[in-house]
Amino acid sequence: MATADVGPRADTAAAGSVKVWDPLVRVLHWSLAGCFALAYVTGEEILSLHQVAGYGIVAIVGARALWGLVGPRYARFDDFVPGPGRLIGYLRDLLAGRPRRYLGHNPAGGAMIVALLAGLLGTGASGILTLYGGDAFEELHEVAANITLTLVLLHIAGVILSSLLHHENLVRAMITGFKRV
Amino acid sequence: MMNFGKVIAFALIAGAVAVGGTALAQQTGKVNVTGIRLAASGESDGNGPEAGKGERFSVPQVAQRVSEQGYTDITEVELEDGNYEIKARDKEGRWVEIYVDGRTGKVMHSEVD
Repeated sequence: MATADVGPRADTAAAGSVKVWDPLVRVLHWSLAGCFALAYVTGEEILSLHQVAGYGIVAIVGARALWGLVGPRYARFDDFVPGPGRLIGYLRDLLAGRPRRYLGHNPAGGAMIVALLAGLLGTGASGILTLYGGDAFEELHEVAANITLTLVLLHIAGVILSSLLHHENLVRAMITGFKRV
Repeated sequence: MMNFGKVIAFALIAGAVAVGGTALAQQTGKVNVTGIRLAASGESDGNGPEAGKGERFSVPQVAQRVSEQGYTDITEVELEDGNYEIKARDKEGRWVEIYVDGRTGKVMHSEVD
């Protein structure tokens, strides 16, 4: 195994942390981020690579949604997709500076995941429409990509804010899979 | 009673399958189009993509078609409302702007730059 991969038992016992993100969630998360970055950077300039990245995004979104139905507890959409009431309540607490800490995704994070996946899928769909031709589809694709980029930036801002508020490194958690209990 | 999360997950799966399927259909269509194009390339009135399906020539196809007609140094191929604007040199070596019908691949007119 990789050198950085600490065994779950050792880590749980030693640091009082618990495994939250299963390997598939982490792999899908970072490969989705990588594909989006690649697709955004290549754009029209390197079209073949751009298309491969785009198809990758669509496949990953599908796989993540499937895993959201059948995966372990914290991977499931039922665990983190909030209804409007829960989302508003959480955002209100967040504005007051005292949001509850969640071991899985918090309601705002959960809503962001849905927005990101939908944005990525919509961008992919509009990208495929450009294959059928027309400037209108190209413009639509660009708008969709930029909306998704905005969501990505908000997502990163949310991760930083939540990390600061709860004194934990959520980026590292998404790499190692472990969070403090 | 289905949970909100499940509905979202199912919707995303359906969307991904639909988008992936459309992509696959488009790719398969492209193969067919190329086949027709190659089969007809010896004819003067070469067939392009299936007109009835609203398909158009791809950039490589249209570039090849234009170069077959004696244009050289193709430096720009731009899709504009379903038709192509191509910048190249004509047989006399002048820079021209060629307008090609995106569906039939025929040169509609050309202008000396």
